[in-house]
Amino acid sequence: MRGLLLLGFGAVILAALGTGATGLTPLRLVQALTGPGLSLQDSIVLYDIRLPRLVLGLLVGGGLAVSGVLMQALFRNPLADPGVIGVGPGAALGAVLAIVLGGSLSGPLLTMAAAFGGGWAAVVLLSRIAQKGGATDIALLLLAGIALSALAGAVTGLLVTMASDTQLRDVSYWSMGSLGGATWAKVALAGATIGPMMLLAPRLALGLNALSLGEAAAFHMGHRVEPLKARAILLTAMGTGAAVALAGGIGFVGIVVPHLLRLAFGPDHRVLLPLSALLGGMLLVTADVLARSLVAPAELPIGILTALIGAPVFLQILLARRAQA
Amino acid sequence: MIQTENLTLHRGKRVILQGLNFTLRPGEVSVLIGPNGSGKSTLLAALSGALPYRGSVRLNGAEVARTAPGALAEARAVMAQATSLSFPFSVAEVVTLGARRPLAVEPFLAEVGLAGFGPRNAMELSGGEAQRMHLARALIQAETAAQAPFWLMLDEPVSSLDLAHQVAVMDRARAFARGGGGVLMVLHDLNLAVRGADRLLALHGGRLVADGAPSSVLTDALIAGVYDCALPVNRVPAASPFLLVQSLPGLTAPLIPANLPAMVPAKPSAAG
Repeated sequence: MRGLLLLGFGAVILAALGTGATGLTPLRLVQALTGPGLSLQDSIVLYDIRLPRLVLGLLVGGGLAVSGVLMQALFRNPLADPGVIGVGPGAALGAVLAIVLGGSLSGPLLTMAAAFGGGWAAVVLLSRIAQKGGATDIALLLLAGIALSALAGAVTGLLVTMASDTQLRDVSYWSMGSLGGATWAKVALAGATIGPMMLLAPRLALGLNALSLGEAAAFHMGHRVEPLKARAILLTAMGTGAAVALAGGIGFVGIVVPHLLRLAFGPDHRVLLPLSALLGGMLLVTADVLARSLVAPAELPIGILTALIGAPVFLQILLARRAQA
Repeated sequence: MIQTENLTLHRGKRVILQGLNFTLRPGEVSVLIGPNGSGKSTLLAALSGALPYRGSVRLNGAEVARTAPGALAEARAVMAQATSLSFPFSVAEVVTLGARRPLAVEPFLAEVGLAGFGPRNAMELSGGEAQRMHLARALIQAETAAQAPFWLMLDEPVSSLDLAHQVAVMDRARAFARGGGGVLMVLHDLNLAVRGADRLLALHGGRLVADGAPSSVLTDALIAGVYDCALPVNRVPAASPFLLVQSLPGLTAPLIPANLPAMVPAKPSAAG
């Protein structure tokens, strides 16, 4: 199973690097590895356009999927997804605030910090509203998520009316979600935030496993529950905030990837967290390849594709849980 | 040793526990009894370190409120009234979560009558099976913990169990105490409490109203005063495991048949 995952990973990378408007195909790439190198034009396409886009996709997708696992463990429910319950919109609001009101300070760094702040505030608010005595009321969580998303959307809309044309172009970018415009600078930003987040998350795995039995049980078994939750929230905000700041609102990756992995490998977070980083990246890059090729030479917003895949999975989980209850 | 000194606990303005002073010794099964809302579960939670309190609670000499969760877990295991699982872990994985160090879970599953249940989805167990799984989780924590004496704190550990498994759990608790550990449990079934306890502590309105050997604690006056219930305490010969509340007024036949076998053998099968 894990071998299959790695094989798929290789295939996705080849497809991502070999898909696009120029004649640089997967076959040409394989030939370049063994025979004569690439032409100058092909190497520019590869190193300055496709490779940064691929790496950014891997990081953003992995970050979203790991954030999903963390949120689901935190709220003890497989339906908690950063996009669905308002963390993504919260981060987007932070990003838009930074773009429109940032003034001379605006730039990718401020946008990213603001998106992180927005995401963090959203998770903290949600856990205040939906958690009582260590238990999460999932109805409250989803309702609060709806309210939070609506609020973030409304404020974002307000800000848009105040925005200049350049700002407007930047803002509309967030609502769509795209890996277009990937640069090595963005990759560096993603690497500096999502990278550590993906590496640190597995260290919470044992605690999160214990948390599956509830906060009281986790405490009884020797875990420091409050620091554990605070770290999970922080890492979620890092992953979601950076992903939203760099690639816009991409939903459902955080719900589909953990769900598939749980079906295949079980719910152990020691397995789930590292594999989510891998499969999340793969899924997002695959969606990006489809977004680039389905209506070529035009490009679909990637968020549309992830929602097309993700929303039915979300409903299917709901149905399965209804049958269980 | 568990020692409390003037243990008091408020929830909002309500006083849940009022100035409790007692000492629990290892080697004994101590059972907390009392009506609903008398503070039994809260007391257990306070002793386990899960709730902030006033006064003092010392677990093997260390003040519970100032002890780190990891250190507490080396000295006591807790089985809550209800524990829900949010992801489909296997039974073996759930029991392993309790272990302080790696140890095979199968013997602990067998001990609670769940032999062969290891690979099963723990979310699909019956209420009684889940309860026994959590007992196994507490037992493996006890076995792998560093501190002695180790304490088992069990909040209504038999509430979902059939008769045979109730008796088996009480016997297991007694064996644990005889092995040098300490056991404190909350029970509603007074017959079972009398059968399994070395000591009964009766709570009423957050106060300790009786404390001592079961025969001295359980009296008509206690049942009337604490439970507000006019059932007589009926003592039957020592050979029978059930002592108490054998008939209701106006009911001639005893509630528990007198010819019930003295000891129901605990089947290690997958019953329940």
